[in-house]
Amino acid sequence: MTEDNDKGEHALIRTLERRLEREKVARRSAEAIAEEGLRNLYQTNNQLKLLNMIALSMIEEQPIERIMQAIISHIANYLNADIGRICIMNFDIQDILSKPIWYHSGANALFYEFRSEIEKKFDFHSIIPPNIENSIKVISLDENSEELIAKIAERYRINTYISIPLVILNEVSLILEFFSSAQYAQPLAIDPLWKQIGGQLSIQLERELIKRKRQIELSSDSLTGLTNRRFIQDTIDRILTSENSDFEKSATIVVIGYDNFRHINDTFGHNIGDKIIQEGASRIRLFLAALPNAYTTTLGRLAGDEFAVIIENVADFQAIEQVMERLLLTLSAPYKSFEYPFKCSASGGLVHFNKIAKSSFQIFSDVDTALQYAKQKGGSKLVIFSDDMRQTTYRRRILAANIIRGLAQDEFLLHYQPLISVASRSLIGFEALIRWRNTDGILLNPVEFLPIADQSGLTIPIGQWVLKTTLNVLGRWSEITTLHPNFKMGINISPNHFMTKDFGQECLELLESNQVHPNKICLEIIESTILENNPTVLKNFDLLRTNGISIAIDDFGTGYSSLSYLQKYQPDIIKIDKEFILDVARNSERQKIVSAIIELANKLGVSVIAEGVENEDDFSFLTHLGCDFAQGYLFSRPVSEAVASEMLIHRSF
Amino acid sequence: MKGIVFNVVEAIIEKEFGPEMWDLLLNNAELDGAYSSLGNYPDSELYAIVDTASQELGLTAAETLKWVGKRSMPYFNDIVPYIFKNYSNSEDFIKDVNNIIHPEIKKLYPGAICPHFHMINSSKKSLSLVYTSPRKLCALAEGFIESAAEIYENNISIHQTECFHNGAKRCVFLVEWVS
Repeated sequence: MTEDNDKGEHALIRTLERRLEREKVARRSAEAIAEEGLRNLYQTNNQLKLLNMIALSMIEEQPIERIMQAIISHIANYLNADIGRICIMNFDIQDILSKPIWYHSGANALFYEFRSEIEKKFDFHSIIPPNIENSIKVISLDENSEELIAKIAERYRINTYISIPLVILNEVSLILEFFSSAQYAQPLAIDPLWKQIGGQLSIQLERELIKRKRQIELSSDSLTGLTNRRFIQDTIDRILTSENSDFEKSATIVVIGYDNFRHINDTFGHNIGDKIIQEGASRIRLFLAALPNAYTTTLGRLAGDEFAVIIENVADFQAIEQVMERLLLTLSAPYKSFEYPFKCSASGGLVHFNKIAKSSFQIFSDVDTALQYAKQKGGSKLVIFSDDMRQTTYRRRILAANIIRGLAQDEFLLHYQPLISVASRSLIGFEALIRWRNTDGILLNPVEFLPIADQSGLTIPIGQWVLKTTLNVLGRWSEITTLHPNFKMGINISPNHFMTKDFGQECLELLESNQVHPNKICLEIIESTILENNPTVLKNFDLLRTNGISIAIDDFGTGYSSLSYLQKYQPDIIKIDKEFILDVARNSERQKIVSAIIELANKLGVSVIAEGVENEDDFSFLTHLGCDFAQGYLFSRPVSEAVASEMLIHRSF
Repeated sequence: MKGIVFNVVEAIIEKEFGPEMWDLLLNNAELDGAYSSLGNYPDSELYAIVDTASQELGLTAAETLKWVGKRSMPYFNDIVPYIFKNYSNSEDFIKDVNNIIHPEIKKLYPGAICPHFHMINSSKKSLSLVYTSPRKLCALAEGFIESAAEIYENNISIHQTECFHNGAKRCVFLVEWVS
């Protein structure tokens, strides 16, 4: 029985042992399954974390270098690598990234030497070319590696090399390389992960490429292919804010413009003008290219015919100024690629500036001032900006601003200088003359503000005001002027105003709206207005004449006094400048000139007005010569509207 | 401490002295002793087992730990063979030990304390391995290193140049591969 019992106990123990063994095996396999699951979960989690980190670094508005830097460090951390680097296989992307992108964990003490050796030997390329499938590669670097690689690996204690080719913009554009002293065990070939990262980077880089392209478009000039004003301004800003520019080193900006370029555009059309600008641009480009390498130059077209050249790190101011004077000469040489050569001189304004200087706005303003000085001095000049110019410019700007305000607030008014028929010594009309009563109550003559108005481009609004106001007055005078069948009101028109496309139409409309007969006005223009053969001027001239408006040539004798335009345009009246009239009775030279002009005018059927008649002797001399009309202090100073209308009513002055 | 370490210690004791010895050690240490490789257990349980084992074996605690460590790798190889397959020699295996232990532990316990081995003077033939862990189980680590060399059939010499237990701030092993 005992034996049986023993047998029974043994069997029971064996059964229990087998049961225990089964339980153990079951537990082990359950553990293995769970661990496998956890391991996969861990890996997936890490991948998601990596993707998330990469996505986050892209969301932030950061320079592309920073983003790439963040990405390479996230991936290096993921791979547990000491060193990471981005190799760039695409030229467009190379353009975007201004510097090589590296990561290092600090674990490799020889990192900096390693980096410089790799950059020297491999530049932007990966040290081992990607395989055909473009899949991730984990390579143990040892004595079996290619000699060069093996040497580098040994010198810098690198045991593992990982390369991850990323397909970006439809090709392998980037290869991420990682170097580690550790050996790698984990299988890394998780292709969907790298595809996803490549995809994310693609979007980012494409966005950057588009941005860069737009920047280039925005900063270049389509006519000349040069950079534009914006780029020049950015360049100045960069110099002003650059961290490594020291105070000693200076930069120079030169703005160059053709003298009287508008004349070319107006006379020969914009096609010719554009061609000259293009040739000018290429002349400057060639000129700058031939300069010694020490000069860092930036060339751009600011607007119209204005070019800007920035020279950085200028040590010798005088040398630069001489170079720029030579550049002006180069630009002034005849332009021969046309039917006949054009001569078009150029002027330049120059400003030296350094970091402590000022804003790009101030620099632009200064260089513009210097250029205006050069042009006012007759052109073909380089003017170097000095601080006293700024004062003048400042005053000019203030005055210009005041003129604009004055126009808006009715500070301008007209005075009227009587026009006398010489033969009958009777009042025949007036010349309307602008005055400005400024906020101080002082009455200013045009000579005190018109030149500045002209420089500031304000002659047209002023002219429009004069024209409109004069015709309003004539409208009010319509009854009293009927008493004077030959009545004429002289209105001064600036060349700019006369050159506007709609000037003729503007006159006709004002006559119409004020119910003024065209024969009551006479537009006084200076001879340069018609001298330039401007087609718009011709059209306006014809339109006005056809509608019965008289045109007078003002200040005759002071300019070219070309006979050819007298014949061509046949103005109604010429006004002999007062410098020839003053004391004409006692000055034989002036007598010769005045009599010749009057004789010529009579023969051409053109009436003559003598300006500035101040004494009886001169008046009787003019009477004797058969001059048609006269005006001057002998008869009356310019008078207010009320006085002038009284004169008309009473036929006296 | 990870359950896998208890499992390996159990397997070694059973192999050398039979399952009764493991039962005895657990009884003496007053532990119930249900360890899953998935679990994480108080360090004190391991220390208690080591203490009772030392008494049974007539060894110091450090000698016991080293004795266990030296026999451990074949058992780890049974449980996680894929890790061992990735290396062709003990040198590569030991140099990459941080990359092995950390993911294995962290996949289960994100906040777990991991020993970190800092490698210095890494060259082809020798390695200074710096062990800093609040557990101060340098003797176990030494045994592990020896066992790893054995499993890849490499000859090594190992000297401990610094030790926590002698007042140093860290433990340093100089490992040399003898061909």
